[in-house]
Amino acid sequence: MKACDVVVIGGGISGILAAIAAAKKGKSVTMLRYGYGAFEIGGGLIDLMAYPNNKKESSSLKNCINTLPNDHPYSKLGLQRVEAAVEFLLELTKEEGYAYEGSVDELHWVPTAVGTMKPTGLYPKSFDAQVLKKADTIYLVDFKGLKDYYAKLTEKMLNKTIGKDKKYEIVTVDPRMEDAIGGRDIMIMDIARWLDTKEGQKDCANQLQAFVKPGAAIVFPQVLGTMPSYDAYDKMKSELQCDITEALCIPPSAAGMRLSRLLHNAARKHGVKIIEKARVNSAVITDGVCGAVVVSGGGKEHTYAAKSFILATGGYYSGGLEVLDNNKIIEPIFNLPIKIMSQKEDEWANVELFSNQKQPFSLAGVMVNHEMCPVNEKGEKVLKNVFTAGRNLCGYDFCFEKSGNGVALASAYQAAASAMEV
Amino acid sequence: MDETKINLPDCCISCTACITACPVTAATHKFRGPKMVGPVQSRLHFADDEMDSTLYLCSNCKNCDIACPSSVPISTMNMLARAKYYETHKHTQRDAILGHPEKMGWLLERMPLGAFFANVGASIGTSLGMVKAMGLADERPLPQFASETFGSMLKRKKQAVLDKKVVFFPGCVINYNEPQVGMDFVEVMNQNGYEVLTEDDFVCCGSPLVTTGYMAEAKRNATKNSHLIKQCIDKGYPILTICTSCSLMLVQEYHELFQDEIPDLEENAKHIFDASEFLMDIAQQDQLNTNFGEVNHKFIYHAPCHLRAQGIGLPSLELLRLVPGLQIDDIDAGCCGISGNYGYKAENYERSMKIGKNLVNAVKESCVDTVLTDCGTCRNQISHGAQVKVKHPMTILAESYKNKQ
Amino acid sequence: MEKATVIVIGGGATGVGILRDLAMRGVDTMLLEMRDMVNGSSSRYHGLLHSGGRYAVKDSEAGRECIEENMILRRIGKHCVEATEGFFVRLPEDDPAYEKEWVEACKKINLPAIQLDPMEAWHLEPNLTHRAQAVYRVPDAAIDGFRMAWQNIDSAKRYGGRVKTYTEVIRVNSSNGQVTSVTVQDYFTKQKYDIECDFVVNAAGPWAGKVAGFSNIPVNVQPDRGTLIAFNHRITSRIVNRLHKSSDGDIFVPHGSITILGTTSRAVDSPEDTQVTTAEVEYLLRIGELTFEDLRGFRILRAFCGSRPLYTADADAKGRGVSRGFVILDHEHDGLRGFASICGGKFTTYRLMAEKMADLVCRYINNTTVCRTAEEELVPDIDAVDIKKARKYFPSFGVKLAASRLGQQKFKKVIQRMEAEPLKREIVCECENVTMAEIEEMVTTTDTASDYTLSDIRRKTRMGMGTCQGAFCTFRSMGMLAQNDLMKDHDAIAEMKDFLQARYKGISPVMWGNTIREVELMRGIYDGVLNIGGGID
Repeated sequence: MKACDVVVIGGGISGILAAIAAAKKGKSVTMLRYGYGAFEIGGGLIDLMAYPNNKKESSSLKNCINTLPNDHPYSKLGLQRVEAAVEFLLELTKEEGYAYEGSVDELHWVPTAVGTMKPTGLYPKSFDAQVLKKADTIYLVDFKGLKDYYAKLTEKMLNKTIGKDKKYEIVTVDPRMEDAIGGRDIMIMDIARWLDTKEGQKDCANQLQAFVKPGAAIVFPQVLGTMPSYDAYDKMKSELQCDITEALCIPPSAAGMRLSRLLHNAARKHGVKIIEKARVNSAVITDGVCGAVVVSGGGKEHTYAAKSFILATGGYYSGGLEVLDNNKIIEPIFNLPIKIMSQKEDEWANVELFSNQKQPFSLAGVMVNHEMCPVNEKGEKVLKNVFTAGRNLCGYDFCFEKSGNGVALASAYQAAASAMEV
Repeated sequence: MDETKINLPDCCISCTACITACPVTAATHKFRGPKMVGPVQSRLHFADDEMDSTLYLCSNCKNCDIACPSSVPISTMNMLARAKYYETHKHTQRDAILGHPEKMGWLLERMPLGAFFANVGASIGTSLGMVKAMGLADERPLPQFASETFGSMLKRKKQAVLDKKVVFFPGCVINYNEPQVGMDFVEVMNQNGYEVLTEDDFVCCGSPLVTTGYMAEAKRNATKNSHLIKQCIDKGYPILTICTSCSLMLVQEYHELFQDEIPDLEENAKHIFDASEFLMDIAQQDQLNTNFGEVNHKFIYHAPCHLRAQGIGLPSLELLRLVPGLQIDDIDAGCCGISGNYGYKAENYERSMKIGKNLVNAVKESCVDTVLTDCGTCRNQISHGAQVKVKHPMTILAESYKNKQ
Repeated sequence: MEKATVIVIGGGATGVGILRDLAMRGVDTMLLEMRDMVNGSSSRYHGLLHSGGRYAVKDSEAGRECIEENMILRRIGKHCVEATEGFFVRLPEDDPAYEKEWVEACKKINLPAIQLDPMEAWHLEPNLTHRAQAVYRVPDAAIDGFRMAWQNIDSAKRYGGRVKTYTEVIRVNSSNGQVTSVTVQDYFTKQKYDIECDFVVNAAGPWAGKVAGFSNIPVNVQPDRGTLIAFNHRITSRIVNRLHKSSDGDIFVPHGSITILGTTSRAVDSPEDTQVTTAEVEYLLRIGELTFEDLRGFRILRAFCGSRPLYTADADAKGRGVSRGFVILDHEHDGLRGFASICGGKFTTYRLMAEKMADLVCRYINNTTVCRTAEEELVPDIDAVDIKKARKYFPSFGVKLAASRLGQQKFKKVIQRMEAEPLKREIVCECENVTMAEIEEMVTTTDTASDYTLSDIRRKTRMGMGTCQGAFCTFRSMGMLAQNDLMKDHDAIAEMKDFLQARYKGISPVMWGNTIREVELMRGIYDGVLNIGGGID
């Protein structure tokens, strides 16, 4: 049976980053994906870390990594390796023509549709709350009929967040989508697709020019295109001569789509073989070594053999971790040992949804060593050539901490490095 | 996620992945989108007899299924809803024609010069505006009927009797429109030591019946085909097809639509293959005839959506990469827009061209003169939209084997 | 000072029934509810409109009452009752001797219980277990507690009845042993004021003891908690009862797109103790899966509980032994004229309970008008013309659902809004098909309260009660309200957090399978992306 170097199971952000990292180093990589990950939920930013312990005190990753518990994936990786992963991603986005900015050193705040500020780590330059702080006048762009963003709500809450000493004005742009009203309803994706086109960008800029005075700041919902390119952003900036920031919205996320496309293009460019709609059901393991994984597709099973495997199947959302109805959690492909981290014995969920404590169900997951190799309670390696990355790892609460894509990135980068050593 | 409960909208968590992936949603603001028309309608339909008014816009391209992390068979839900719609609404003559390519083909086969006159008639009908009046798109050429069916061609060819055999499920396009492609497939299989048998009683896989809402008929076809397939399997023959809509239908959609109603569907699926998938499988066991002759040409490969939905990767592309001198790239530019008979409907023409615009532009930019793809209607769409030659990968593989000799 | 002849305390089934009855008899009546309508027991039960089958053996009088009232409610409340019919199913675990007893008992109370071949039952209900040994059909029906209450109110309003929500009675005032007024407090403004009245009806359900206690009158209502599970799927189109002595977890009731399994019985101290535990859920599942073997494969949307107001004259009796019949206490016997409490009872007989209480009140105020609540329909039918119009603006599968929850008048108004402003046709809650027009209608016509919460919108429109449990509509509704200047001074962040927390409360005991995936999505959006739980820079 012909084996490739690395099989990556999972095509979400962890999987695709691991695949690219290995492929760039010349390895033959096959990526088996089912669904497209959580890009359209996420927002396209790489949250590294913001709230390590409680919701009141924020900190950059660099400043708090030493205070994180031992189980936290960042603790296992160490600052140096996280920085290497960050470097990798920034390089990659630059190569693909949609450069991200940011570092582990400091938090970067971006505005959201509800007027709050959300701390992140690596970001496209079109997301920047600083422009709001600097400006005296802030324009909020609303799109007629867009039901997933309401400038009035943003304005009301921004007033509280960044202060009343600014002048706020709402400007409504007509995206000319009357045929959507009462049909599909206009979503973020529709506006973003409109702004992918030169005609749309021109029309939007023209409409705004009538109201917007240069030198101010403008908040857009995150609609500046679905492609990994700054075309729409640059166009708006140059036509309107204002500082611009996008605001995070509810899904589906156009910025998430941009990142997804960027990574997809990079994966293809570097020769990653991608199999879609591939459900990995089980693995063929002999003496602690995985020889192949078994995929159901086309009504039958196919095996994919490789020297090493990266499990990047995600958490509950993607099915990488399943919770059975007696509150037992399993990792369904390799049956890896799961650590459940509750303060009390049967505690699975905090009483408050947005609790000031991390959620036990979120902290649960697969245990790994510093090489991202799955281990058991005693720290012994369970499999010799399997590595895991992303949401299925134990020890972190990505919603609470704002660390989701950061852990995905760093663990994927390490998992790829480990996989290449096999 | 229990995949056996395949008709439950329960698994849908409303994540919007399907909406993002749906090419129809991107092309028109009228379509309510896969989530609403699929799982939401399925959940709430008990309250009302009428189906959503935008349901007709779903092209059954399967992109929603590919994107869904929850195993919801969204497009199948849409097709079941469509079938329900037609329980209380009449089909048009146009629907009857588009839903039954096999009937047309069968009839023409039995008439002297049937195919010739059909093609001429279609041409005249188009210029007289009759085609448009019937509700068919007259901007694109209707599929041409071949003067001889594949079944007839195969009978004429004297294949060597070989120990290893496969049964071929040609499908309507190969049988009536592009029989030569079927013969190319036979050549490829012969070169690999397989004799190609066929089953005269195979009927249309049912895909065009499903999309035009003739569900009961589709079920009858499925029952008949499954029975015949089982008999072939019992004799030890795998079933191969080179049309990706047929393979999707046989290995997956039959089960999604008719599980519990037709026996042996799951078991049969284990022995039904896309031809390239089969050849790549034997390649894995070092049994593929790798004596390929040079084909010095640059091609583009377009992966049909119905192939991507099967979870077997792109086996034809991999086979083509084994051919010396051949340059090929996966254009990866999205759905071509025709989706079976969808793009032949007059009211869908513009939309289907809009959906496929990305692909057509990418083809034009690539400056190749020939695009390879396994799906018959994709071939029609690409040749019409990008004005390039289109071929099935099997044709190139057959050519390659012949070049060696 | 505001005035009404009669004040009814409690916006549950009993209270609204009394309001309607009195209003129809020409009595100037005002109903006061401390929170939103149907916040107590009447919205927190399985919604079964009893045929009486469950009482036939143990309490034939109650059984007879049920079947009679069932027939009446189907007629007058056809827009809130789904005539699903019910099955009684005997499993191998159930005592076959009980079946005989039951069949006899049904005959005695004129309850038509028709035996059915189990094969046919499986054909009708494919998910039903094939271990069923006997099946009977009965005229059970499903009733929507919310809709029933609003429709009673709509009917009452036509006769001059009045309602105030978010208005809590904090004192019953009297002079010389005669009730003179009540003192109330507005939940939002905190303002206190008096309402003059001649008679006060205490229909506060499990809070009845508290209300009577304002005047130091002992009314022993024992809150008895029942836990229920809502499944995200119409597992059965009919009500399914176990054919055995009534006990826990033996009823399945379909409500639209969901199915409810219930219930349990446990004495609790406070009716506000509404947190369900995973252990309770597991307990119900183990019983329920005997009837529907694939039960655990269906997604649980949420688990919730409500308190039955069990009345006992003896302070120590608790639990299922206590009678489910109702009792009316005229507190003149306790030294206070013009004050009466109504306790116990069940939803199915609310109209009868209301009739008896209204009779008492009318005797006091010398009103001799006869009760007509059984004769007149609650609300008129929806105009077919309106349905046709609505099909242009709504997705088709949402039309009849919206029509039935809005009622004829509001439905017309909503369509008018959608005609006048096309943007209002946009769907805010996609899981349940709730449009902007509908939400706007609900919020702007809240003439019953000084303010509103997102949860009030949810109760009236079903927003947030579907598949995603508010993951998208929480934001959209908040935004839409802000956009249309309906937000008042609400703190949007706090309000969204409260709304999602309330949703989560019912989800946290069932965090597995697809349910936990939904919570990940919810957290991912509101905490991960929008950071509403976090601090501010």
